[in-house]
Amino acid sequence: MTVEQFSLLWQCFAQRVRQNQGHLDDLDRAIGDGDHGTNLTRGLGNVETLWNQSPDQNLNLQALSKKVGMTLLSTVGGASGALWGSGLMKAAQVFPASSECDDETFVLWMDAFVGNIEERGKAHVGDKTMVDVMRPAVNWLKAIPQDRSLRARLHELQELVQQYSQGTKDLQARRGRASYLGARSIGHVDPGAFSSALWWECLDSVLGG
Amino acid sequence: MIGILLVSHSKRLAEGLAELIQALAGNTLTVGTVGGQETLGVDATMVVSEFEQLKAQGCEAILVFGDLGSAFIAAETARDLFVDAGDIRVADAPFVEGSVAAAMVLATGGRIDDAIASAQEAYQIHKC
Repeated sequence: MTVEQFSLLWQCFAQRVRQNQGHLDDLDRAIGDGDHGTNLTRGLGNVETLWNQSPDQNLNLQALSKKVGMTLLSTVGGASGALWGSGLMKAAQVFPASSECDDETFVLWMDAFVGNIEERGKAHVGDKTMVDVMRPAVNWLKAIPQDRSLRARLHELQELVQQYSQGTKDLQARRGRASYLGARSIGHVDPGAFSSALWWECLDSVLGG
Repeated sequence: MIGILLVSHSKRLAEGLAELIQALAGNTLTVGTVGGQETLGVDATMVVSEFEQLKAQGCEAILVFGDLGSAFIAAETARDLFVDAGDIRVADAPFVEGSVAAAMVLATGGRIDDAIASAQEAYQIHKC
C-alpha cells in the first residue's frame, strides 16, 4: 500500500458512496433514520478535499490514516462517523511513518482498523452492523495463505463481501437504533454493511486492478 | 470539583434535563450540555469542546451521561481523543433517572464512584 493508493482508495469510496447515496438512505429509512447515505457522502466529500486543496501532499501513511479518520469523525456525525473515524485514527499507529508499507503490514492495519470498530461499537459478527462485512473479510484475508498476492486475494474476496453484506438481511439487529425494532429489523440489508462492502470493492479496484 | 456532562442527540433535550437536575439537586453543580441544534445528532469533536469548557470551569473529573447509542460512542471516542482528560467516566445508566440520581449524590458531597453506582441502580427502579 502506497500513499497514492491509500488516497485513491478514499476517493473511490467517496465516489461509490455518492453514487449509492439514495440507496443507502433507503436502506437506513427501513430500519433507522434514513440518513446513512447523506451523512457518509458529506463526510467523504470532506475527505476528498484533503487532496484537492491541501498543499500538504507529502503526508505519510500513518499521518494520512489519522487525518482521514479525524475528518470522518468530525463531519459524518452519528455512530458511523465515530466508528470509521476512531477506527482509522487508532489503527494509524500500525502504519509506518513512510510513504508505503508491505502487504503484511497493510493486512495488520486492516485488522486493527476493524478491531477498533468492534471495540468502539461493542458489536460482534451477527449483530447486523458493518462488522458483519468488515470482520469476516479481514479474517478471510488473514486465513488465505500469504504466498498468494494480496491483489489476487482481494479480487477473490469480492464475491464473499457481497454475500456478507446481503447476509445481514436475514439477521435481527442487536446493536444500533435498528435493535429497537426487534424482529421487525429482519428482511432489510443493514446500510452500514452495504456501505462497508463498497469500501472493499474500492480496495479491490485500487490494489487489485 | 466533579462536573456532569449530558450528551444528547438534541441540545434542547440535554438543556431540559440540566434544568431538571439543577432544580432537584441544587444549582451548585456544574452541568454541561452538548447536542445537535439545527440538525439532530452529536459527534466526538462536539463532546471534546464541552470537556474543555468544563475543565476551564474547574472540573477535575467529569461524569458523562448519554441519551441513545451513538451518544455513548461519541462520548467514549471523545474521552480517548482528549488526551489531557483528567478523570472522565461515561456512565452506563438511564439518561434522566441516572443523571438525576448521580447529581443528588454529588450535590451532597458523594464521590464519583458512589454517583455512578447510584446512577446504575436507576435501571432497577420501576416507575409504576
